Amino acid sequence: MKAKPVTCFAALFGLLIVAIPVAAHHGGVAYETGKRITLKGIISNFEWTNPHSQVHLDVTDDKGNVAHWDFETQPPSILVHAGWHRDSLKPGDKVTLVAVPAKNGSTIGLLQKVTLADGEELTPTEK
Amino acid sequence: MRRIIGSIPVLLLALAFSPMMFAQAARPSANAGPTAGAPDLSGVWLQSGGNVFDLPRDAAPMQPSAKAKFDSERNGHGPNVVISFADNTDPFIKNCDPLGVPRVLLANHPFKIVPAAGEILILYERSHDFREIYMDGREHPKDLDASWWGHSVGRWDGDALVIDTVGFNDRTWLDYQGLPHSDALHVVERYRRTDHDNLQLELTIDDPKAYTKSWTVTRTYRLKPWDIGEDICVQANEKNFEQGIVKPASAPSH
Repeated sequence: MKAKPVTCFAALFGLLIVAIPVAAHHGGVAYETGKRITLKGIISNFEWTNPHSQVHLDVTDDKGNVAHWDFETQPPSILVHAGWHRDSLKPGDKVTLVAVPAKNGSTIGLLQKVTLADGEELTPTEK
Repeated sequence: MRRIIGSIPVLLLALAFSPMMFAQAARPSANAGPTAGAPDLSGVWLQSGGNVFDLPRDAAPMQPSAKAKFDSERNGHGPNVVISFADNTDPFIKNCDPLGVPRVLLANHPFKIVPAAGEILILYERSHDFREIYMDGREHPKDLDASWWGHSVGRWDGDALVIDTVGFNDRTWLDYQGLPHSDALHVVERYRRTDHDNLQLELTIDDPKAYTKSWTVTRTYRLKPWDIGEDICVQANEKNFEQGIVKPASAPSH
């Protein structure tokens, strides 16, 4: 079941004109450059892998509908220099995630920032 | 005693023809350390200025055949962008083909320069590949087999390391957008440490079959206190990424 995550638990903010700080070697043409969305949800899986690590997030709207989102980010060799670890995200973690959405409206995005429940912020950019 | 003295010539003869003696004679520098007094470029270097994936598209006019090849390519960075893997013609994306030179010098993965005996090794995080740069004065072999990484010889020119590479096949791209080259590609890399933390590369592409004139670009790299990671292109991983991200992102609009 798909739901538009625009309600209290799943807030969506877009249309911010920003540069994409992380471009993939596969190219960023799938994404709506200049837009960002912010989603609140529960981590369902975190794939610490090449060519791009993937973050999977379940977002529930106020009617109880769950949307499953998939985000790409950098591979482990780059994320380690941004302060990430293979256990940085675990299934069940409650997070707020910022991403550049796919142009086609699918529940896919290019990850920009994850904020954990304790306030820790993870970005794919070198620290 | 006479028996011992008599055996000395035999021992000397055996030593003279031992593999070790042969090796030392063939490679005088094989047991020497890195070139004494040479500039020290050792360390892990990351391209400066963010993620630069491509070389200038208009650095030199392409030959007609090269232009036709470039115009036919489809990928995520070039003039004909595609999202799906099925439509992508990038040999690195489609087949995990080796990146070759100079493409491996681009993007956001570091390389490590390691001075060694009679050569310099360069270890690349992306693809976990390496090059041997022969510093012992040899020339390129006259009859080279075409290869992904070519044959590299190096020399010091003042404080600059100059690497000359030939013998490439024509199956790699020069960059991520798909700049083409032929098997006549001749790459000259001139590395110079501008200060302790910065390395400048002057890269010259000479390929008369693909370009009407040689062209030169400059890139800079910054010293990092890092180890080289493992960023290997694996078909199973690419398939997982294609299924999980690329296919849904390239589907018709919802």
